[in-house]
Amino acid sequence: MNYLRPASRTSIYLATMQLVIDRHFFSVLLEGRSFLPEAPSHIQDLVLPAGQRLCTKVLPEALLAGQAAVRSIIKIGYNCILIRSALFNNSNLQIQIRVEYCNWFQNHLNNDHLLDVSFFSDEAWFHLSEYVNSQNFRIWSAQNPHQFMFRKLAYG
Amino acid sequence: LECSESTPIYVSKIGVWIAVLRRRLIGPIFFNETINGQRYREQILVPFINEFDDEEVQTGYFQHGATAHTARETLNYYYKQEFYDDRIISRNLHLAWPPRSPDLTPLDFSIFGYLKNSVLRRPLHNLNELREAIILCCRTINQEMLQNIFEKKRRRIVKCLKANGGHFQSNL
Repeated sequence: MNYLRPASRTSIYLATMQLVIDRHFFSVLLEGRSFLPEAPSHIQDLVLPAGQRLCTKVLPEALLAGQAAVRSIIKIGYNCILIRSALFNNSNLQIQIRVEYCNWFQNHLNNDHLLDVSFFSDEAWFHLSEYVNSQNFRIWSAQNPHQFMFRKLAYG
Repeated sequence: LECSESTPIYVSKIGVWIAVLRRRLIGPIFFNETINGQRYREQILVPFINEFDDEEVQTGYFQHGATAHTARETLNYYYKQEFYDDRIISRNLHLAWPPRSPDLTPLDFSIFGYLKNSVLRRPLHNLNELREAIILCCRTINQEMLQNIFEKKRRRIVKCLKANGGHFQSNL
């Protein structure tokens, strides 16, 4: 079951724009240069033409209103949270950090004694309604449960 | 008369905070509101730090799961507890913290899944029952399981490196 709407060009562009704002690339974006150095080329090909068309519409308002307003425009208008997370997942920067972490773990933390005294902490919400955010958690089972889970699209 | 399914306006849910080491599990510590820096220090860190033993404070590393925990005051709090920041793995600190990697985080890839699977198996009627069930279930996690989990984590790290940091297939 897939609740993700097929990504329209606009929503992908807005998603990347959010990413751009997050990375403080505002100025680069304004100069019209390639503003997605981390994105894979097929995404850039998709985004850039649509982006240039939209730039004239969204950006002036955005600049007047500030980043917070842009965020709310994006959130309300387009259901792009999931797309954004997909983009983030594939971005080279994240992968680079992850590799760095793995290397560091192998070199420094890979002995029993250190793992005995090192903490890994996290928090989670347990819902009475048995709702589980399956993006975050892995649940293992020996058999196919033949079970469907109805869940909300995003947060909330 | 046909009834439609009713959904409550307010979601009843409970926040659970757990820390895990290879030899034991600390928690669960419960919270009700969204965690910000201040609540994190008051409701979670204080009870948590009481559980440290000396060896853990002096040599252990500490990896945060969530990101709201690196407020400046929180970091100062660590300094006071002699838990220096060169041994804290978190966002914005110089030790790399793996973003969006539940497959590498022991709590995400195993313990919370195990807890949710066994706690939510039978119907629970209120938050107190849920709380009790979580506490009971945490006690069933023994040292052997924890060691297995950390073995898994090592294997996953190797796989992740093989996949150059991208997605990897985690076989059972």
